[in-house]
Amino acid sequence: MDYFRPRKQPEILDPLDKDFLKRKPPAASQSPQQVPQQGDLAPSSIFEEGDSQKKPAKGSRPDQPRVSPRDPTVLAAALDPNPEARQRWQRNQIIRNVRNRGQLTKAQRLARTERESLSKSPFYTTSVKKLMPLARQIAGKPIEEAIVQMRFSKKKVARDVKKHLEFARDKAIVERGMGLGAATAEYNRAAGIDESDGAAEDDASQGDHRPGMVVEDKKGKRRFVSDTSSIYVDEAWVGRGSYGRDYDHRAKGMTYLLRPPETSITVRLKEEVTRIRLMDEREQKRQRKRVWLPLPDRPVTAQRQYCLW
Amino acid sequence: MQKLLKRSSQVHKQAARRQRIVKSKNASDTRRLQQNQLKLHNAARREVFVSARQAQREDWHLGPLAPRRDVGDKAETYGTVPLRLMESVEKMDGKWKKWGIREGDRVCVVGKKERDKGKIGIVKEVTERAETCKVIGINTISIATPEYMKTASQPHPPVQTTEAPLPLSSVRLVTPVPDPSTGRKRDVIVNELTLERGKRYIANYIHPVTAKYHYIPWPAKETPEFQDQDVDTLRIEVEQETWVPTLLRAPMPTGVIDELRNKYSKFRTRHEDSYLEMKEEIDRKAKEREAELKWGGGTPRVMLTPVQELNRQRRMERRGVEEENNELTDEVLAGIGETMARKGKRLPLREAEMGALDGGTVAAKEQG
Repeated sequence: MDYFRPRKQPEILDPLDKDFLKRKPPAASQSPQQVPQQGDLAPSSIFEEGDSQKKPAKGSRPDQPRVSPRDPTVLAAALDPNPEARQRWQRNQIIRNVRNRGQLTKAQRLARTERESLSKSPFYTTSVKKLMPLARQIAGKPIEEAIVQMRFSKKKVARDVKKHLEFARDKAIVERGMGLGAATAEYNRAAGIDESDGAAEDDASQGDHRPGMVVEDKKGKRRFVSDTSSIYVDEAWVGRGSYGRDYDHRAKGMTYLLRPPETSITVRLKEEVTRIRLMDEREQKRQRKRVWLPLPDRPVTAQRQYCLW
Repeated sequence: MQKLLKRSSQVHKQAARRQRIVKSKNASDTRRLQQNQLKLHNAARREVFVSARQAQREDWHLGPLAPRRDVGDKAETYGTVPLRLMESVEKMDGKWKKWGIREGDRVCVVGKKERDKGKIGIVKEVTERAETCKVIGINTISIATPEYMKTASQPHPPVQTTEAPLPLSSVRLVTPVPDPSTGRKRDVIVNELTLERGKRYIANYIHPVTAKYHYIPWPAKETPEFQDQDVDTLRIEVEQETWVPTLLRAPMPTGVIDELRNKYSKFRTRHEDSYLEMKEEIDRKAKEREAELKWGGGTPRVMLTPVQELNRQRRMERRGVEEENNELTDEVLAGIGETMARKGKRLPLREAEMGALDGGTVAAKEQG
């Protein structure tokens, strides 16, 4: 997982600098190892062979696809190494489905309709105590807002957390197709595809795209959401790793042993669609709730002018 | 001389013992190494199984929302297995079975858990020490090209496909055997082969036509074609006898043997005659000297003090007196005899008397 490897940061981060947001050119050390160039004879050399046997010009490669199409039977060695066990398991799943008459549980239905992505960071040399506030800070926020928070945080580990959030966001988009609702809608509109068609529905990846709305989270915070498929941090938690070993060199030849802790952060990203559903469910629950009556609702039978107690 | 022999045998014993210890230690090291390799191999295998199962189940649960897995750092290497699975773990203890399958044989995959069960292919490679074989086009896997290979001047594809080894217990030889009913040859899968004197035949099977064991020929080896070159040495030149050893001349300069075999090695059992003679001479002299030093073996060469001389003289005298005193007189003997006769003890008979008494005893026995 090279994504997380902490890179050397500039000494001072000045967000007001106009070059701050510009993409940095890749460092020389990041480039792959240079392949030594093969030497050649001088053009005037008598050993130079005829034009017919001349090699192709440097830098030009024969036209071949970078990745040739893969044979599924070969892929099966890695993707389906035990077909019998897979078939047995799938058979049991189908039996269970038939027994339930094709009905899915709520968890099953949600797993097939709402996207989520889980990303665990590598271990950072920090403590649970220091990372926990950051996790609490980003939990519940839209991913972009969480990234902004980490960018301007004065905590040291916030830089690593920001990097991880960016990775988690990219992973969610690429692997799970999250946050693509607006883009897909735009594409469909440009291509003239009716979203109500079956074809568009099949492509469930792109979620339902609704116009902007105000969404209230479970803590009561209200946010305006322009794209219902946009990503937010549903949960964020930290995990303690093992302790490292370092030395504190003291005076008079003394050395104290330091045990620097290692901690990771894990985020679960979801789409705003989920938060909207949760909001709706809360509202429905509220609607279902019986109205509290201060006095029993029954006909008044004994009417007297004065109280009897 | 005895010392010489003893030293050599002791050194031999010690060396053997040391060798035995080293051997047992090496055996345990080998065993541990093999176990480690097997552990790593199995771990790689398990990793493939577990990750595939997790992915399959996740795909099933997520249905249309199943994630793409061939992205990120797996974009090029998706569907590859660890490099370790390309190699088989060799048995280092030398206890591998002979399966009678060689490169070029046609085999059928029969292993229960093999992916390509039922397929027939030609054996590409046999690793006897691991009891595995590779079959062309069967049990193929994809391997991600390691980083160090990518930097070579030759561009490598990111993924390479190759055959993974199959255990020899999972394949069976396929060979044509005449059908007893039709007489025409047809392929059969040989369940068990018997190996005998470098030949192989189908175990427990008598050929219906020849009524003999059905021997299966070994696959023909491809003989590399060599072309004669001008610089080649001719065979006739190679085989020509250019030197005939004689008994008159040593086959090699003297002293070469000493260079090859340490003349003064502590293990040596052969010695030069002069050395042995010298040792024997020493032994002989020592024995003589020992004999001389013993009393009664002649005049000692050692010098004695006057007291010692006196003591020796007295001792000799005493010994002489004792020897004289040992002789019992007839009177004493007669007295002893009388006493013994009185107390009912029988006297030991002298030889002459025994001869005289012989007849009487026999007569007494006869009477008794």
